[in-house]
Amino acid sequence: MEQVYVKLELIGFRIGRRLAERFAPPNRRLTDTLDIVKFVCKDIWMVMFNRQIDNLKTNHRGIYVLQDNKFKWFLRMSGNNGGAAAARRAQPYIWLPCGIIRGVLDSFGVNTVVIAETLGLPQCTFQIKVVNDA
Amino acid sequence: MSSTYYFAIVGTNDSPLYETELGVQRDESKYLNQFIVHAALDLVDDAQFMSTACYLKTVDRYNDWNVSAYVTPSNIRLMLLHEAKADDAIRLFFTDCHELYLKTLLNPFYEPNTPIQSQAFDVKVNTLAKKYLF
Amino acid sequence: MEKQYKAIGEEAWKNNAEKINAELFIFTYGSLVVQLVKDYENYSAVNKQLDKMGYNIGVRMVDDMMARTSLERCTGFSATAEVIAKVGFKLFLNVIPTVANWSADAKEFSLILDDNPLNDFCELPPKAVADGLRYSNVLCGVIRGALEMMQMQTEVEYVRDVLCGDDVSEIRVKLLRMLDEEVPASDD
Repeated sequence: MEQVYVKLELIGFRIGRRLAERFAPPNRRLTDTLDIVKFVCKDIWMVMFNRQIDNLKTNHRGIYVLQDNKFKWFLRMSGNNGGAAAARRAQPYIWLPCGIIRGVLDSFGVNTVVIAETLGLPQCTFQIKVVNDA
Repeated sequence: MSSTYYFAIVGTNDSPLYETELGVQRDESKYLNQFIVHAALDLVDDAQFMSTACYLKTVDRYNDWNVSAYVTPSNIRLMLLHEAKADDAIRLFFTDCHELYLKTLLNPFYEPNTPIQSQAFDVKVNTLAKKYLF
Repeated sequence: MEKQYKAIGEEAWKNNAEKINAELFIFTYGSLVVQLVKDYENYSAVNKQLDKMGYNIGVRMVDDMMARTSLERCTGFSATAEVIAKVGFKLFLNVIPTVANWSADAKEFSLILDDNPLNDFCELPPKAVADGLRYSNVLCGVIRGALEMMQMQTEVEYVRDVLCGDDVSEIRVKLLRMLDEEVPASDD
């Protein structure tokens, strides 16, 4: 499982690097980390899921929390033994987007760790932690 | 009008990803060109803080060389050494070279921040130089 | 008959297909292939893996395609070829390959792909070309898997590939035998 995580995350990372350069606003560079995170919430989420992130929170000290209340890849999932088990089985599906988010931010020179969890399908929360804010 | 140019693409870790001399070869070795470009990188960094535009125009001078720079969203620097001033032509050249770089990046087998070895890329850069610079 | 399949494909693409961003799809596929290349370090093993993944997709895709169209079960292998090209490829990739090069016994045909979105932006490293990486080999697996669900056992492979320097891409589909109706467990 650990290996699956590493691979999916890496595949996502490579996708993210390409999405960033391809969909970055033309002729304008994003320098502020909050602007880059907003770019993920709006433009990148639009490209990936045809919707924007529902809620963005930050502690202004390098932690950003992105909440998607209707995460597209969870919409058709349901578990027969209740929420917790279904949420656990859905885990692998959020590793790829975690890598994509990390890849996009890395393209703009922001080094991060991205984790995700779900409290109940189809909700999903991504947490971005900046490792070194340049 | 014959003139000489030196064009380089510099990665995020300041290593050259691509370089070429365009037009008449001059006496100075390519090492001098590399040196001038490298020395100008600090000035590009400074100029980046002053503006969020991609095209930073002329950032440095060295003898009769001008150094112009263009920064992509993911912080790849396109650098051009040139004698005559021609802001508009150079901007167009940079914009199209950025497009070329983007196509290279989108190739799944290209690892970002590594030297660009594609022959096709080299040919296309020369075509763009002919179109805009000579 | 051919016209009718084309119309069914168009209709399904327009009204019943959920669209995703083409570039996201292309980047994802590319990134997946590169990961396999890193993992296996052997291009023929990568081809095999892509084929296997495609097979697993194909066996699920048939039902999906049936649900999105008004298709009835194909009456012969030539109708099958038309449906793959005009409905299957159209619905899932929005391209229509040409069906060509039928064998005399009508058990083999080729799909000529003028345009394959998976290939967009891709330039293979010389080593991959030399060692015969079939970048879009997932398609072969998809076709094989889908046909198996329709009781057709087939052999599907790339015989020409633009990414390896050929002038067109050609996928060869060969019918080995019809499977007995009662065998598949998924039959309801």
